[in-house]
Amino acid sequence: MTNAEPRGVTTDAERRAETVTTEVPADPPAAPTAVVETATGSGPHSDRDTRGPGARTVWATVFGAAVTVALAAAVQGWFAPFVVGLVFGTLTARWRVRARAGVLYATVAALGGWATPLAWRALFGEPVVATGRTVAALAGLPPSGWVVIGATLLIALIQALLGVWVGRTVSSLFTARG
Amino acid sequence: METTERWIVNRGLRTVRRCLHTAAAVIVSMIVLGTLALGSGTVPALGSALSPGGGVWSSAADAKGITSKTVRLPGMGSRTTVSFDSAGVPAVHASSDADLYQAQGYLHATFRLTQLDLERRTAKGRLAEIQGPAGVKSDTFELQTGLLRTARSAWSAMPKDGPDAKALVAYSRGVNARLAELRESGNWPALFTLTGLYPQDWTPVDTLAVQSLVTQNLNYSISPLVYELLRQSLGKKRTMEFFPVIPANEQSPYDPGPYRDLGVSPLPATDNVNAAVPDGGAARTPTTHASSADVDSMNAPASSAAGTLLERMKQLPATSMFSYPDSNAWAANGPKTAGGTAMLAGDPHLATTLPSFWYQIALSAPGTEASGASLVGVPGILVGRNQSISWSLTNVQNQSTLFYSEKTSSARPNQYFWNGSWRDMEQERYTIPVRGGSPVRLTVDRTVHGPVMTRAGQTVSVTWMGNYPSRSLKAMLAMNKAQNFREFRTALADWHSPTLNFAYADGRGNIGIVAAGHFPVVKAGEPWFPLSGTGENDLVGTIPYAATPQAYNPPGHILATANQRPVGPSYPYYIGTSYNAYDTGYRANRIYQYLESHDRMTAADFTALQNDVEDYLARKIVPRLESALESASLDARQRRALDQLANWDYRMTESSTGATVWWTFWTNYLSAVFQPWWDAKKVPVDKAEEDLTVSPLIPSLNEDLEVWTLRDPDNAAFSPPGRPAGDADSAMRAAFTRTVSELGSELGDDPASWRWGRVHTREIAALSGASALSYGPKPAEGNHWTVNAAEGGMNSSFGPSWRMVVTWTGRNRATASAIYPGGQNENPASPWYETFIADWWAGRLRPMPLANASRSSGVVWTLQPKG
Repeated sequence: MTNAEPRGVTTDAERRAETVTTEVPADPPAAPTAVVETATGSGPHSDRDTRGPGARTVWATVFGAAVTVALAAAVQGWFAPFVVGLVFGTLTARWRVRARAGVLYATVAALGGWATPLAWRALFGEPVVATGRTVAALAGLPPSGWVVIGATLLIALIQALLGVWVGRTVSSLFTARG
Repeated sequence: METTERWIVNRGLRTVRRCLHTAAAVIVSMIVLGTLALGSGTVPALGSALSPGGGVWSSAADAKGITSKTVRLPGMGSRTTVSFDSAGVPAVHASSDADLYQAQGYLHATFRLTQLDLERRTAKGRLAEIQGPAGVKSDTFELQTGLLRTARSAWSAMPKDGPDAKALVAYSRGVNARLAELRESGNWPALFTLTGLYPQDWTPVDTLAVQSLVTQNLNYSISPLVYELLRQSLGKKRTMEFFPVIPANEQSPYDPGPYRDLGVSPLPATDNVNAAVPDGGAARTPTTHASSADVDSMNAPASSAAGTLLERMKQLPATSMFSYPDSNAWAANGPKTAGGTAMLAGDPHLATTLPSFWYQIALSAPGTEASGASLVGVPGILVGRNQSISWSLTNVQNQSTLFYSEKTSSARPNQYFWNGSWRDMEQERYTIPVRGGSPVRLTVDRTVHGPVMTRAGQTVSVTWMGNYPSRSLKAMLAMNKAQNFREFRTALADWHSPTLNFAYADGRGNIGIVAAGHFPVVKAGEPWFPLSGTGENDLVGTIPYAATPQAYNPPGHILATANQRPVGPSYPYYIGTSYNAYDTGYRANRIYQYLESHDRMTAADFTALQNDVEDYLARKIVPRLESALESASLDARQRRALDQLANWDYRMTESSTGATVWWTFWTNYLSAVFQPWWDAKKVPVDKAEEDLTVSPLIPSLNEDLEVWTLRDPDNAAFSPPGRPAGDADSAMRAAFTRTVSELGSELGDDPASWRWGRVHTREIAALSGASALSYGPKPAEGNHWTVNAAEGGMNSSFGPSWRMVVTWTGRNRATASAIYPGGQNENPASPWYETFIADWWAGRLRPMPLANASRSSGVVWTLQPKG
């Protein structure tokens, strides 16, 4: 990992190690050719594919995802964090990077995407914390605005994590079949 | 080979595991996303509710404060402007009444939409749809009582070219314009987003239903049921001694007579829209008498029905029926005022809530120039002034509910015996939607007297004056335009329910009070008990308007109404008992005492009186207590406690220690005298704790004990059954001993630290029920019968809901000021949520100008016709 690469972005060597760990049985028999090929070279999960994009591209994608989540929130697209999680789950599976990387990207995009509109409101003078307090009181929760702000971000986070989970597990099915 | 097989098996297992893993991920995600999308039970759809771009967060935009804007409203006739002062009080300038009331509807919906919808839901029996099972009791009661039917009937009978109908249509248009805006923007108040239930369009029937709800809050009384339980336990003689029709103590009626008996104004039973049509129900078995074999309801104890009904009613929201004596208003003119003209003060007492019942506004259009307190949900101004007159109101508190014990038979289900025939009850079926639960089906039975409220043991129906549709809105709008007392009084002839004392002062120096509304008169019987439903005790009409309590320019130049009995004992009509539900008269007596002792009064004097916390009864009783304790042997703590009383100025201030000793003593004194009777006669307090528990909240008991203590200290009441003979002195000594002991345990040994504010608080409760959105509880002055009243127990949530003082300085000139404990915006995050509370708490008023003189903050809304 270079200094330019943020945490969660894996090097090619790590990716290869992960690929081996994921795809090759612990005690492989004299494996059928097709399987060896899948694990080591040709087909949709070739070495070139597993290398994935560079860190800048990844973080640009995360940023774009966060913006998408924020814009979606403005048009009742409350499920956008799940979609983003799904996308990152699928992509990280395709990139053969660890699940935690997908979790990190999706979390950042989802939390960033939902925190931004709240911050935007506060910046323009809307009493966000006081509104949160009102909602907490109406819902019978401890009357603190931060409780509802926390709950809001938690919902984004849960959606993102679920998205990653679904994305990776579904991808793993296709990977196995391939 | 074996290795390959194992590999194949392992691979198969892995595939199965992956499939299961994937299935689990998909299923869990679907469940979570489904719950976020749709909610579950009473859990809202949190996905959309907490979405930061909309959802509950959009209400933050409305809490931010307002800026000038131009809005196009469908149906608006011409350009209308709304300018706001710094506290959010709008001054509306319109070129017609229709535009004026449309603007008012738009403003109410902008700043009080949640309140509007909750009021409407309560009135129409749809509270459970948003509150869940907790709202079912309220919905059942309201649908049984029939507010919705009354509202619908009133609307269908209202001439559509009348001023009230036009105002209702315009007002609804204004509310709906705001709803349309919200549907477009999605910026709903938080409660709607949280529940996912959004308000439907507003209709004229909704306003009339809300009006009925307020009426119910002011004059739906269950006291005949309480009387029935007292009669069954104490016996009729003792009941009427303790709870007489005419109060035992001296009161100050504003209409001292002479009186005229003008007969009865007919009120046909067919006008009661919540009763069965008298001759419409097929009489299956006409007969002149119901034979005893036919009748089984007569054998059931009436008290069981009363008890069952009372138990049910005590679970209803406090606003469902009349709770406490409400309101003060007084006027002075001539030499009693500094300017020699006329002055008016008014402070209607209601549940103090956030948001308040009131929304302050100034309205201006050709022919209408009014400023004051508007009732949320209703166009016009209920308490306020125009350019020529000013008015306030208090609750008359005459008996407005009559309970009837119907004659029924198990052999004749769903029939009742009335006027010589068995009649079918009319039935209406409702389905109450319940949030997070199954819908509740309800069948409402109706007899000729009204809806059947219980069939437990005995079938009891109720005739309530609020079920007679009236054109009270027309009266109110005409009152807003009245220019003199004649027009004012004429306007109020249309006011039927609730019965209110309208206090008046004008720019020509005149003052007056008019009791407007239905005072029911029955054919025969004692209406303070449940009446027989067979026909002989039916309602025959009401007291004619010309004979209701009224006063105009009295020779003493002062008038006051504070829920005291408004007339003297020689008044020729029955209007209610000392229990149902007139005040003790202590507030009124104190107000008269103050007004009589002051000349050339100014607005400051009136404001001081509104904030007065002198206990009228204490000034009479405490010297008598001191005298009773002279011969008693007191310990050191008791002596110090007595010192607190001896040095007390009779004012119930927060810092007063005498106030604490006095109130605790009086409570214990009542208990010492009456509780032994309650115990011996087994008064079923558990059926209606608030109405039957011996306490200062029961007016008759205070009046009795006051009179016996001062004038009849050997009254037989001091010698209850099974106890040694006693007198006032012995009872006072016992009560004082208990008082010091109780306070010592609760507040410590030093009576000098027993400050009133340590035991007495006030709270302005949030309408939503969320305590974190309430104001207080905080230590507070006053008590149940001080002019600055703190009603509703030791943590008071009832009292002056609006204070107003108007000083007329010329024919069309006045300075007016007012305040209410709340703010203009219902959004708790708004700076206008509780704007006025600090001033209200401190007893200060704010200017209440007419629209033309309002001080704009520079924020102006321009409402333009759309299309």
